[in-house]
Amino acid sequence: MKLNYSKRILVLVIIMFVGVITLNVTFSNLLLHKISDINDRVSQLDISSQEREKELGLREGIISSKAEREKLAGYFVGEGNVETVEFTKYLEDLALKNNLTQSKSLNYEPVSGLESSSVVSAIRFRFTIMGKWTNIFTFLQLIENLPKVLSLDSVSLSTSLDGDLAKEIRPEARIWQADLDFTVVKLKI
Amino acid sequence: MAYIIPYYIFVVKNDLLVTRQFKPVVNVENKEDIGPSASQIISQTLDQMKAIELYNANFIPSIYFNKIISNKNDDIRLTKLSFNVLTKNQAQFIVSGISRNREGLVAFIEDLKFKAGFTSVESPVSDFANESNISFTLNIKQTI
Repeated sequence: MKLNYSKRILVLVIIMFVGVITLNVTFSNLLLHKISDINDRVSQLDISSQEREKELGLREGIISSKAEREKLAGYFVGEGNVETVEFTKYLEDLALKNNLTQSKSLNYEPVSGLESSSVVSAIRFRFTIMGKWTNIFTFLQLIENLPKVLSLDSVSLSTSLDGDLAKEIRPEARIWQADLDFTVVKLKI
Repeated sequence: MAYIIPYYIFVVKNDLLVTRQFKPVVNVENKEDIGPSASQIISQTLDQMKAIELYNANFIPSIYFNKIISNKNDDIRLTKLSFNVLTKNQAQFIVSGISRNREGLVAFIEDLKFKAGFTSVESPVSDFANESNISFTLNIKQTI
């Protein structure tokens, strides 16, 4: 009888021991999972804050270079059709101020070498102007020196002369025609 | 065992607390309107600078027109000056006009070659057929 009691105690102790070991293993696993989960989140937070710091650093640089970037953008015809119209009107006024008659055509083209750019495109102007040599030449120089990103692709200056130099009128009084073909870079966005 | 269960409960409790505190911060960061990203602005600026670089090495035709005019002698009358870009480094100028005589035309061509320093000055030999009132066309090339 006494032995049976001892056996029962032993079985109970063994059951309790197995129970404690099982609980221990279960909670240890849960704890390890939780710790590993927390570590993952901490490292994600680290990466995210590093990226944010990097972005903020870049943004600081961008904010401090705002004036320079605006100056840079000033060398392009601004975005939108209104800016294109204003620039065209500026060129027309330039011709008018130099006593020149003008006709022109313009169309959009991609910038050669930056065809796929979503930032810049080009406006191709074909200007025909007529007037005195000095005025034509001044207009040409003004176009060359426009504070814009511009490329003169071809220029043709011509006048008529009847072929007999003896009958020639004063060269400065002759009427010249100029055909100017140039592209100006424009911002898309 | 006596240590693990309370420690687990402590960790879970703190985890919940931290998650609750970080949630609004993450939401604010996600909703924050920061406009175009820095890398977008940098990429736009790079495209603008590339365009400037592409358009930088340009010919200024008026400089060469001035060279042609300043080397013109009294026997020469110009009727046409044209410029066009052949390659990125080479431009062509076509100069037409009337020369009073052959000597004047020869002197003009020589001056364009040696004084003005154009890379090449070509004239068709047929331009020298007439003795006076010679209509001529010169093909000038300039390399930079």
